[in-house]
Amino acid sequence: MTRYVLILAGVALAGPMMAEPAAAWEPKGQGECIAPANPGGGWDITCRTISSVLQKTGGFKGSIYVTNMPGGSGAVAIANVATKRKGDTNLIVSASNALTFTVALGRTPYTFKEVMPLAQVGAELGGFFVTADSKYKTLADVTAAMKADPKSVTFSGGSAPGGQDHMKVALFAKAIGVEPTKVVYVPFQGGGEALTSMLGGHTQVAALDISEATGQLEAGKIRGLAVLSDKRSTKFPDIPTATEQGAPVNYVIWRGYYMAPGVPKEAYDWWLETIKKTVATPEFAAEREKLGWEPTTRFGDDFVKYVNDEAAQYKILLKELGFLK
Amino acid sequence: MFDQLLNGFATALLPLNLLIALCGCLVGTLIGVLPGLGPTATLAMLIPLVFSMPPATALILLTSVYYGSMYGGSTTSILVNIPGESASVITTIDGHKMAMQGRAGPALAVAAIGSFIAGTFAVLMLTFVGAPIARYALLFGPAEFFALMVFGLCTVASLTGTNVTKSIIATCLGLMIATIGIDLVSGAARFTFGNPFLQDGVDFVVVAIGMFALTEVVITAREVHAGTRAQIVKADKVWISWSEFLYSLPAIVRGTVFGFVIGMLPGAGATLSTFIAYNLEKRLCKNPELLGTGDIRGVANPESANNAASGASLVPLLTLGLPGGGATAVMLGALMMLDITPGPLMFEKHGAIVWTLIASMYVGNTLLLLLNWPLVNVFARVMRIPPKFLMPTVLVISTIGVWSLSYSAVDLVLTGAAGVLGYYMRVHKYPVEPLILGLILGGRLEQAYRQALIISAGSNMIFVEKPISLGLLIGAALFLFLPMLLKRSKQFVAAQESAEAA
Amino acid sequence: MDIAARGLLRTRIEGLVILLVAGGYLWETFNIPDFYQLPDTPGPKTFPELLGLVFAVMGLWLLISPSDIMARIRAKRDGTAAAVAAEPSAAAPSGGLLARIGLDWHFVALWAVVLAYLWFMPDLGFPVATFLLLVLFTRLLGEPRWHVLIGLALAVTIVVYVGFKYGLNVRLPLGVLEFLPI
Repeated sequence: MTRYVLILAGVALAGPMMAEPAAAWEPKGQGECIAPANPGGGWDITCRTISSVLQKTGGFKGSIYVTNMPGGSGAVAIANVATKRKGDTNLIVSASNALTFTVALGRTPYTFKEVMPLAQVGAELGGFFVTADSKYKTLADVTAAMKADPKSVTFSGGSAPGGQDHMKVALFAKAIGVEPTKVVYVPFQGGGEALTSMLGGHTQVAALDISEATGQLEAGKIRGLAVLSDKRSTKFPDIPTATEQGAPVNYVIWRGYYMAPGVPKEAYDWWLETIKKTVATPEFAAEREKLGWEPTTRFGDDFVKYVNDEAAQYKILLKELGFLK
Repeated sequence: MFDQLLNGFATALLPLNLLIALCGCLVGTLIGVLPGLGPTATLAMLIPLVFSMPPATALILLTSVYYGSMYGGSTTSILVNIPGESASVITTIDGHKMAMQGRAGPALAVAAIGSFIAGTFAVLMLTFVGAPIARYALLFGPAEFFALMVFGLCTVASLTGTNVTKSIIATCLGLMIATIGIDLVSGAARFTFGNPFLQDGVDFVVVAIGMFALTEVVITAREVHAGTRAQIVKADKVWISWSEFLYSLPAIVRGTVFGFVIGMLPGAGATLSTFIAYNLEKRLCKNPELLGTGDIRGVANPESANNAASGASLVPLLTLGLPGGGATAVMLGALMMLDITPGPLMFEKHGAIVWTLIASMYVGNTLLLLLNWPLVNVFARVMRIPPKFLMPTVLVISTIGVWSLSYSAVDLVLTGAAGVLGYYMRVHKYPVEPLILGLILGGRLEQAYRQALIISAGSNMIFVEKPISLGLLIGAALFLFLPMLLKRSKQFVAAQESAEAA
Repeated sequence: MDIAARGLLRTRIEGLVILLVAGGYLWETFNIPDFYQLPDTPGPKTFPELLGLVFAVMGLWLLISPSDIMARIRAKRDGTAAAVAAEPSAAAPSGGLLARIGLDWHFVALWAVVLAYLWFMPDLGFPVATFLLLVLFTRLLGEPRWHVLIGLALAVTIVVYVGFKYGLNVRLPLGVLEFLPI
């Protein structure tokens, strides 16, 4: 009984905030966002952000809950969605370049063609982070150490070997003239675990995305050695770019969503419109600001083409780096 | 700090918030009772309500539901020998035997009291020494985690105290089942036979429902048919007696401490802590031969351990901003919805809400205990339902628990297979618990092993070079081989006899 | 064949089955695809190979059953055959072959009903399958009154279906009742 009353109260409160009906199709019941990683990582944040903003702004009238489905750098989730969740109109799955790597490496029989890429809602910079008292003060220190012995620095990251976080390390190694396949990279289930291992001193440098490091950076527990981009981050302008420090690596991470295959066009369009509108709200801007994301977006067909092109490019890159035969 | 904690209490004790917390505990317990539907499913259901509430109220609701559903998991372990969630597997050993002896009431009561003591202890630690002790969680890297899990598996291998070979076989089988699916490190699909339904692995619930629920239902049916079903002794009292409480207090204290220490390590989890705590209890307590025969300490200990562990997992999250497993995933979600990014500065930036959360944990724990006073009475009556009506319903509800995981027919088939295997194992005295633990730990065990070897460039020496890891591995070896050395000691012979008689 | 010998035979069969499972498992490790990994570190095959080997060794151990053989030798020497019986099935049921290995019509029927429920539920639909299961299983548990059986099965089916579907948002298949507007 109490629950019933509370639901009524919820509806009453949410009522005035609801956007005007956009299309004839409306999702019914609960929505779900699958984060293909453990809590605390980038995919988890991507899911929690959109579900929180969608519910606050009334973009989605029911509730959206977040399911964590870690494993194989997104391979588990895409397999699940492509096979078991066909035509599920209430489901979105968070994704990023990391998934493109999983696809490009052939770690999953599924590609972006088997699911329905929906939208990119932001971009963010990757970077290298160390503990506040680390012996590596600048990226140059790391470069020097790695040139002397590629195995002397242990990197940790939240993706499988050959995946997104490893790629940051590999591209950096290539830029400073070290054989990428020789660098020690320890894969963890998500950026959160990689960060914990670095904080505990079990690994030395964490290759993360800015949003995964935000909390610790603000507290001064960790230091950013470099962001892997041409220009500095808008949120943490104190961290120099890798290019400034003599290692030209430009690696921007997109954050977005895909849907299950077989979703009817009107449902897909509803989500597209809803996310487009949501991204433009001040609530989302505030989240973006907090996470340190850059406001780059792509929608629908643009996005589909973008990710498919990216997968093809990464295949070439992975071969160049020696990760794919 | 005290001001803030008191402010937190002032919010948590508002009449509306208290009412919400009470409802949360009740709903959580009732849903937690359903096998397969644990805290996560319950919370997912309640998330819509969270947005229509003030942040403090929402947090109070979530914590109380969480506590409720954790507790609910032990209820089915005790009443029908089916663990409601993985952290209650150990509770089945003594809990169900107690229920059959007509002591379902005391078993449920001690679970509630143990949970209360352990939960309160965990929150007290979090309140007063959280930040300093949280650093300890960072000491555990891949090598240490590997050693910890090996330690956990070895304690279980000697769980039954009877046949180590059978325990090892069961553990190994569990680990093998855990390798099915996509490899978490490299992404390679293993043992899936091209079946996409196997790619995300075999869930714990699928195997546990098969091995516990199906097996229990069929065995009961057999006993009823053959007329050998032991008559459940009529319950003489519903609540626990003072002497029983004093008897189980040392077990509660030990469970609480071990649960807390293990639960604080990110990702180690409540389940591992129950297994380790129970086995250490067996080595440390007086009259260990009674454990496993329906001893109240066998309920008190793991139930305290799992509650302490889930409380402890919040310590690194709230003080260092490091999410682990279990409760933290849930709390993290709740905090993020309330616009709080977890991190080391959480207390400084969002002090009021974090302290309300902590206060609500005290309140939730206490309410759960108060709520269970009457609830134990209700649940204990379940034992009076004739098995011919209870068991088929249990079967149906268990099946829904499996089905709701991913709506996959493959899961149901696997449950059936696990049921047949579990029946054979139970009839021929192969312990099921090591298999379950192997299945739960397998993925992380392998991952930690491989991560450690990447760090050490392929050298296995890393496991003996690190002091914590070395200590744990020595402990594991002792656990495995000490029973053999002690075989001649009188105590052990007695334990063996009682275990076999059971 | 005395009890101890039958226990020994069963242990051997268990050993053989474990050995076969381990063999199949190890065979399947060849099908694990190779991905890039750091040199000198274990890949996705290492751990399964290790597990398969341990499992095979355990199977072999049971197949040879050194402890059982030792016990039998000791028992023969001491002339106390009963001591051996402690470990495996202590009380051997008497009767026909099926009964001796623990199979009778009731046992087979129980498992058949349970497994059929798990197998057919997704297609047959939750309400119908559950109703049938409840009726049959309760009957097997010894409830002879048909009106009780059917009434109870109907009530439980409806309560559980409604409770889980609307209370807990679990999607339960309607199966053959798909046409109903529920």
